[in-house]
Amino acid sequence: MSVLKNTLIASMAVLASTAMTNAAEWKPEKPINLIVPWGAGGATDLVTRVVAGELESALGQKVVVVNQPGASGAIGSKAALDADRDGYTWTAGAAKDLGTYAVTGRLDTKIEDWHLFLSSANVNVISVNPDSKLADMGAFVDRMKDGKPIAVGTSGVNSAGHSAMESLVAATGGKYKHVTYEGGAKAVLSTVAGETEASSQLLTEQFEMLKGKRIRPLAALSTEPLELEGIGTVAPITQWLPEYNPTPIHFGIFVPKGVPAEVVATLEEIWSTKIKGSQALKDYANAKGSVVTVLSGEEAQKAVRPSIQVSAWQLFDGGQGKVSPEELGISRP
Amino acid sequence: MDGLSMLGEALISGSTPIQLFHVGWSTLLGIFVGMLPGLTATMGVALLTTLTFHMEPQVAIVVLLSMYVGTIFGGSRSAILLNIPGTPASAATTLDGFPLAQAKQAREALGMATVGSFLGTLVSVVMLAVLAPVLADYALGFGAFEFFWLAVFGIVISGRLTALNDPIKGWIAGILGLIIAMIGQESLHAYPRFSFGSTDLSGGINLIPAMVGAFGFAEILHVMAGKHKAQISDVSGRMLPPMSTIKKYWFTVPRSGVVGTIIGIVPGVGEDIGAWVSYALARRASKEKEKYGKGSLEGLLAAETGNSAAVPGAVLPVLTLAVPGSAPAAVLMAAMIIHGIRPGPMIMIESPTVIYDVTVALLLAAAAILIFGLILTKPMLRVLQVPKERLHPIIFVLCTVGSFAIASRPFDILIMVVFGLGGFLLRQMKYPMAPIVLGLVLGSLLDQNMRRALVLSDGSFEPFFTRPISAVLMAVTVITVVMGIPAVGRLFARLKPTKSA
Amino acid sequence: MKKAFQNASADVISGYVFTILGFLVVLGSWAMPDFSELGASWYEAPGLTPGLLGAALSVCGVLLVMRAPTVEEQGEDKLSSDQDEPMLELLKDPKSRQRVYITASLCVFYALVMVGLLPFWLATALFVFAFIFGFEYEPGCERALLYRRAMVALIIALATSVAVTLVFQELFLVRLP
Repeated sequence: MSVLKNTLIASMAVLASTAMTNAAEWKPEKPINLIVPWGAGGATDLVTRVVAGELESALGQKVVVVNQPGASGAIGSKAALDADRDGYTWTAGAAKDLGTYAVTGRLDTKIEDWHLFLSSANVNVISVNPDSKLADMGAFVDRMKDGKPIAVGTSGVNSAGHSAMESLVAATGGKYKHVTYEGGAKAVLSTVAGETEASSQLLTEQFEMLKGKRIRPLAALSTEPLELEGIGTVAPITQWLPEYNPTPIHFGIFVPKGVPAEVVATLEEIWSTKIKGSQALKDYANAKGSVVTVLSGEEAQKAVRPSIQVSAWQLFDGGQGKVSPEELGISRP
Repeated sequence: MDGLSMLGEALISGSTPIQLFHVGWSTLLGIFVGMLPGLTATMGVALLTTLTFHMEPQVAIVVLLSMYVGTIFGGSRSAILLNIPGTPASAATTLDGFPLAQAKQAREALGMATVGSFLGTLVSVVMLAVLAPVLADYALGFGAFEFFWLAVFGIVISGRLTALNDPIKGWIAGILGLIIAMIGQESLHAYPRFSFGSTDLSGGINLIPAMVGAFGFAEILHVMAGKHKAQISDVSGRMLPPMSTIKKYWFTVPRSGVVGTIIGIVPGVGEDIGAWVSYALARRASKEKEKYGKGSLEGLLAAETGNSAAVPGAVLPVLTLAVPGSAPAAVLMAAMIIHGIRPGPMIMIESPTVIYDVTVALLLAAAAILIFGLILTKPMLRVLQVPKERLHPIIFVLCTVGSFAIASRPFDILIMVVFGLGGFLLRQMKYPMAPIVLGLVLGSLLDQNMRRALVLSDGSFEPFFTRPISAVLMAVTVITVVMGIPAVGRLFARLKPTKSA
Repeated sequence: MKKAFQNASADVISGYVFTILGFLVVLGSWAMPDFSELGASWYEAPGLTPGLLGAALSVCGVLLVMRAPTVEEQGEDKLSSDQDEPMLELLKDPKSRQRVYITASLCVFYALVMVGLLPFWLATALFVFAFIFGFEYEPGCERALLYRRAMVALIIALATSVAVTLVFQELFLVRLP
């Protein structure tokens, strides 16, 4: 409830501020480039295209989605960072990635260097092949602790699935066999095919397979049970690991700071009205099992903080980090 | 046969004038996108996704599928006329298409490619409509071990087929492509290989600028260096290959169609491999092997049937597994989801008509490429009559823009130039270009699947040889290498020189 | 016979180049970290695949070098009879070589220097004009003919520039360099 209240207050504040700056409303004169730093068809690409469509009608201008994948999203993000700060080049993705490029040394940028416009949040689900002998999450945790390592499919180092498994390792002290795939869809498919025993990708990426009963959910990395139409109830991880502190992954559109103030003001206004009430976004979220979480400004920064902390320290402790998160002002979670 | 009757119903209800209009313009646009070097099917479909946003879902699917079919077909036009594959899918088409055009048979080659694309789509669509649920699960049989062999096999056959007299040069080109694909961040530890601290290099070498350079720029240099005036091609010729020719090669169509479809279904490999494998099979079975690579209508037919059949093939697992069979199919899937169609295992239960809507859209697109292909033959042939001094600067401008267009990265223009200059030199020494491009496509597939397979088997090599599909792919690969080794053969058996022409 | 020998020597040189390149790739792969301190197994090392590929390239290079003399023995009938032109022909002929140099310099200058420095349409128009006129210019031909050719080149240059800019920017929504 308090979240909702905060949101209301914030959106009112935004409304108030936009009311003042309304005189300088931004009317883009040419198409906007929205760089998706991942491949076409992935989780980021999908939600970004939905939001881009809503923005197009709100701005009265084309928003061209350009896929610029490579180096875990660093290449596309760099392009947006290097572009003219005229408000015509944006990027998109998961906020935790943007916040950790400085740790891995891929890109010298901090999350505070960006205006965040979040649209949806996603949770990880641990699912297994239907033939797996793992009856529930308890059995999964037990086998992580001692037993033959479970082959878990993810979409690679620092992907949402990998971070989730690493956090389980931290919580249980166990181990697993990390098998990486080119993208979440293929990681999930490997579990369907039985090449891997389990998948820890985002619910969005598993949704259809869960509905089709091609994989079996064990637990959601959340504190509350998930009620999913056509799938049933997925138990929260805290049922087995009460200490576990899940961090949802936020997706959104990012605009580098330094763009004209009216660009930011206009976007914030669109965010608190049009995007918040967007039926297309709701439908998309319902269809893919994600949660509409429309946030911007300070609030967005606050919301993404925990996932950045967790991910940054995981990377650093795992030997992937070149710069200590401490030096970047990211404290240990 | 329930599938076929539902297909018939969908065909009748789907052929309204407005649907036909949408099929028409989007296929035509697709053909142009495919013809321009650098603009690919993936880009074409992605571009239209944004434009279809406010359309009805059924219309959007029709538009996007027509675009996809059109681009893969359109790539054959520049492959035949200019020796520059418009999209990577047409690399195998250049092998016989361009020699035919040089031999004043451009018109017949364009016609044959059109017929091949049309029939390939047709065969594949029938397979999709009748066998969708069965075939999708077959893709699940492809695991890391099988993908490893598939990648090796792809390089081996392409190296062999593009350098028939000298396969070792084809294989060197293929390995070179694979090594270039190693540049950039790898998947297991996100370690940037051969990047020397550059963010651009750590993102890897993009396929499209490399291909546009190796084929486009290198071809420009090659043509401009030639002393002879541009050959004015014979524009008369026949538009359609005579019935007797088609009859002679008829079996190529079902074989290439089925093979192309199956390759298309396998995730991660698409139209390009479909064309190569079907070309290889056609050559193996051909009575006129010696014509291959020098202007074989049969080879051209096989390549074009194979790549077009892979299109419905790639769409099939999108529908039933929500796993795209190729890059353009991935964008298509994204578009479907945006339009509220939820592909995946539930599609047969939730919206079974979608499969038949897709089938009808593909059928109409196939008809459209047949019609446009034949209508546009004549104006396209005029390209050959433009003097090279006037044509090639324009093509180079297109190469530059095309390289840049895919990701708006100036670095890609540099890649295009480097591959063009290097490719020209290698071509002068009789190294084929196509395996380099295929190596770039297959590099990450090879790397990821080899190491993934070893992770899964805890370092054991056994499953590479014992899993059934693996074993078959391995056997075919080994046979291809051994059969194509006159170099090694000559080296070790100088006493008894064996020659296979 | 002589031609075959030249072909063979081009093979030998490129064979050596690929052998060395493959070897360098193996060395580079060997130098990559293997992440064993993080518990990774040997088969997870980033250098595994490139190392194997480098070795394969070296082997192919060696085979090419060793095979080359046989080509010479067998003469050109087997290996190059059906190829339209012998190796490096375009680079050996001085006239062709000159044309390659001019084409390459024009293209490289356009793609890497002019694009990005000048507005795209201007760079393109200049390049196309220079290319066409440069190759069609023949010293000592009639003034009127020269004038006509310049006009044709100019028209094509402007048309290309306008058409490409419009098609890509407006129709395909590509941001031009």
